[in-house]
Amino acid sequence: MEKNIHDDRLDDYVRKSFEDYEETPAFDMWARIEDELAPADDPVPLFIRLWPSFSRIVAAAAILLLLCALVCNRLYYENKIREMAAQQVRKQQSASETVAPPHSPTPSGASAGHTNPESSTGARKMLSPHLKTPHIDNAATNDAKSTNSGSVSVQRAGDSVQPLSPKSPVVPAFVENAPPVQAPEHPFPAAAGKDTSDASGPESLPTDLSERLKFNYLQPLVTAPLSKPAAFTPPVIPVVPSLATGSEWYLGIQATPAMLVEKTGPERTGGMRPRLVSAQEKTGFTADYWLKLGRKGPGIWGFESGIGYRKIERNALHTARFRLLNGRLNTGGGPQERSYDFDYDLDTYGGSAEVTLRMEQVDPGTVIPETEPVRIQVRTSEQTTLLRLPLLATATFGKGRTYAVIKGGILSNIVLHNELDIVTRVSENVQFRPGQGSSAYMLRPNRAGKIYLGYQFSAGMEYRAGRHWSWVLEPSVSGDFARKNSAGRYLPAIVTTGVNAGINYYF
Amino acid sequence: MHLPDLTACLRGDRLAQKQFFEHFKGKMFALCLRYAHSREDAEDILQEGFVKAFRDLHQYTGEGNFEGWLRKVFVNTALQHLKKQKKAPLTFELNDYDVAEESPEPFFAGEPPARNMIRILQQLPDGFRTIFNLHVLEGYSHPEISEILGISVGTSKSQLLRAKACFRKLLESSLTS
Repeated sequence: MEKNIHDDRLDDYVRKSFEDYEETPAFDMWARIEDELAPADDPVPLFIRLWPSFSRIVAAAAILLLLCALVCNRLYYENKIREMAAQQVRKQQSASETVAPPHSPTPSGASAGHTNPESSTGARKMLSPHLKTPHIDNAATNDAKSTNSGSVSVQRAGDSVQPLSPKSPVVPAFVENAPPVQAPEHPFPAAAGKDTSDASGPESLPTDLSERLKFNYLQPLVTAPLSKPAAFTPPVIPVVPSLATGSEWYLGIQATPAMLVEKTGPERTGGMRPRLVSAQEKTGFTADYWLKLGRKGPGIWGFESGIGYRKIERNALHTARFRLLNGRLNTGGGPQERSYDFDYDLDTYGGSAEVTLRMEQVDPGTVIPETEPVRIQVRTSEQTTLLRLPLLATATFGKGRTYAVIKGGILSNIVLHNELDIVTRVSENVQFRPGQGSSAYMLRPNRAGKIYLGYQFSAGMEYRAGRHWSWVLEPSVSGDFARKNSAGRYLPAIVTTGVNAGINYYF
Repeated sequence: MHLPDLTACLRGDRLAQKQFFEHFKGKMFALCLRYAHSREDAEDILQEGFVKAFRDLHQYTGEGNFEGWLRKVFVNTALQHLKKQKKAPLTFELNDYDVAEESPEPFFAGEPPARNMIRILQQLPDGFRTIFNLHVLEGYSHPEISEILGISVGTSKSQLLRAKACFRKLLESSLTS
């Protein structure tokens, strides 16, 4: 009980102490809150807001385009194959018609679909489908009779036709020389007219029922069509000339005009030395120029490397926000001049920079409170040239002339040149103006590493104009991996989306 | 000083929002200081809290005291901030806090007692400080605290007892030094 009373007294004491107690936050707290609320007032351009979904739409459209192209490509070549096949068939048909004369040695009975008397008595003819119009040879049939085996001589398509012999008006000489086609053994030799004198039983029919059952009575004995068979067309496998021949090396000259969007890190606005970010003012444009060397095949995989050049001109804007007490009073000026230097760090694409801005009091006689906000809008210009070394894996699909090509891999960027300068300074407080003269501002760049890595992906088409030359058109996306400056802060990351176009030479 | 124009704040009127900030900044910053480890942390909570308040102002239906609603927004922000810092649900040190090993800062005679108490609160472990604040200063009951922090009512009670003991020890030693 005593403890509870003790506790209650403590609670009351604490509550009373905090009643109506207030603390003053940092002087720039409102500026910080205002910064965070700012996007509502300054709406981001619709394009930038929609960029994430836009890029997805572009990627989906590119994939769809590729698939359509592949399907079209396939359909085109299938049609071409059919046409070529049909042409070849027509050619063959016309050739066979011209070869077979009207006075063909084919017996009229056979050609008319009548059965040869010999064949009707049991001669069996197994005609190969590869053989043209069968000519049943009487002599051969007779011979077959004597040997109990039916034989058929045939004329091959395209064989030269010899004049008929007067002695055997229906059997041309070439037929006599033709190799006989052996018919299969008949299960009932007697039925087939075979000599069954050597047979053990009175009947040559198999006594065993199972043997009998093996014979398919429904199978026709004469399997050869007695009417004129359709002209045989050998399977045509047209050879579509593929211009890609196994594995190939190539050299390419390409250019990639691209749209440039960057992502900046957060600013640290509080403290005596704020760290600001110069954010890109609007979507920029750049171009890459490539000299590429690659190898394709023998399968779908290959690789591509080379050397590229990129120049980025980046106009960026940032607002430096201070209170007057953050500035250093410049004691060098006379009584007619009252100026302050404001220091901050600026994150840029090439690294970071220590910035000192001089602001002059418009009326040196006026006493301005220390909490007076000093805001300066600063526009910077930064030029960066890069040497780019890609190492990409490639996958090529398709045949004929049009191919779908997908590439992806890493890019090494080497900074050749980086230059940062302040272009304009505008004071947002009418009591101050930007300093004039040589010491109006100072920039001490502290550049990030000279080499950094990025990535590149592309998917597009390649058209082989000939054995050696091809055209390339491929939408591509490239960007930088996250990188930090010497202070350990993330630098603005750039993403470019463009179309890579150029020519390749295969050797 | 009358309450700032909330409708104008809702519209995004920057001037009204600034008035709103000026009106509440002192009280809310004192609240943030009680929950935070340090002044810097408290400033972060304050900034986050005001931004949230402006964005969620439409959720205030007009029922009840507006300052009470705003305090809730700031308390929630402070708790979320602490959770974020720990990168895990707010945990509580179940071992007794060895106050004797701490060297509490002495009370400064010229300073308001609340400022000295904030210094003591900031020396408490996160769990103790949170429960102490919620129960003693915000007036939340144990079932409410258990719901807010996701702990049992028993844990809430036991932690409060320990927190009070720690706080008392630190307070006494700082007053005597």
